[in-house]
Amino acid sequence: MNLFQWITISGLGVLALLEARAYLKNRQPIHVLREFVWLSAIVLILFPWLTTRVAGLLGIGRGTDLVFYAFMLLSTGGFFHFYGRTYVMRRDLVELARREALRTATAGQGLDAYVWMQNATEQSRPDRAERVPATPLVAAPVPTTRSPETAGHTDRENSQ
Amino acid sequence: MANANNSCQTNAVWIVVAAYNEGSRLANTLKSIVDRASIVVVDDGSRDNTFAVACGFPVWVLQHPINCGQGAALQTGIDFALSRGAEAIVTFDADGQHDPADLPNMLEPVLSGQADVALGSRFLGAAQNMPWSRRLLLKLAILFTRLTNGLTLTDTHNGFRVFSRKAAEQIRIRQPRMAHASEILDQIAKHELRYIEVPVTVRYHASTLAKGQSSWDAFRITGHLLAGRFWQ
Repeated sequence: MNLFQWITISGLGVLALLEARAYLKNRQPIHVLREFVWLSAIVLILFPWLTTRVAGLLGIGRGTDLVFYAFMLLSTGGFFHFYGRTYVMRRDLVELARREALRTATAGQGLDAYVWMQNATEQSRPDRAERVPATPLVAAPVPTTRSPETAGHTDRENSQ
Repeated sequence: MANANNSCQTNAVWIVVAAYNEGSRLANTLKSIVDRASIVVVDDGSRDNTFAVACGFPVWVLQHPINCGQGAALQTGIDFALSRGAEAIVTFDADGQHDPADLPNMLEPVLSGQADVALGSRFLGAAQNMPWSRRLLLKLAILFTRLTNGLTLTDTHNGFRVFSRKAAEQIRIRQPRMAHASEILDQIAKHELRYIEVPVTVRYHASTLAKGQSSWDAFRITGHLLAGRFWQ
């Protein structure tokens, strides 16, 4: 074995052992998949001619081409995997922001009187009196400029 | 039409205005609709004074702590309007492109029970100062919609819409950004909601065109739509 093989196989061996231990701990199938990847890497580094043999079986020709194609496929898969995770994470973040906005609704200037007038109209209609709540509102102090400090202060004061 | 005009004055009709960095145009838009219905403005994490401008009017103001996109802002406003007992919910652009005079015509089919959703159509009405590139893009979007969900519409990406309470409860906008327009149509088809197109006027100004979607955004929107379908 050359120096490269000693270093990489040592590292991969440690990873394989950690993976095996993790599998014994929680029995999740993902650890088996990862274990397979680490062990395959160890075997291929130990016996480089195997890649050429496998490449020949697949009709690719050279072992390096096989490694390159496998790398490209894994990279593409990894890209979509992480894009999907980012997408879902972004969606969760948006949901969080939406809930915060709904929780901290602010009544604009003069809305209390305006809504009182509307509710009075609504309550006079027996078909709608139960459905539309006559919510008492308190108008917010209106900030002159929007800064994170003033916006946050106003929001919290008006949270209900 | 009298029915729609009267309902505009009560809590039955809510207008949702999603605004992002619209401090300079929002005041004029709100002035034109403030006496027509209950209004909720959703400030989508603007960097300018949009929030302060909205707070100066007798409207509800919700504020996203970060910029989430128009789709998310509309869903926030719709959720709020539903929680307040809205019977009809209007989505109205903050930049002054839409004509408030079209509001009664838009509301009439929904309030009379003729349709669950009224969709504004600038191609049935008028599109003033619309660049040819935008016209071409919108025509392609019409074709895309026809192929993907089978809806036959003349204008698929008009922000002026009216939802009945039933429709607003069924439609969930999960596309936070501009792909929400196509998503809404997908859901109209999926839930078999009754829809109608109403002629409206859309006015294009230099400033709104500068801020609005570029033709290249069409590719991004298509990507978001596909991603949304893949990662449910």
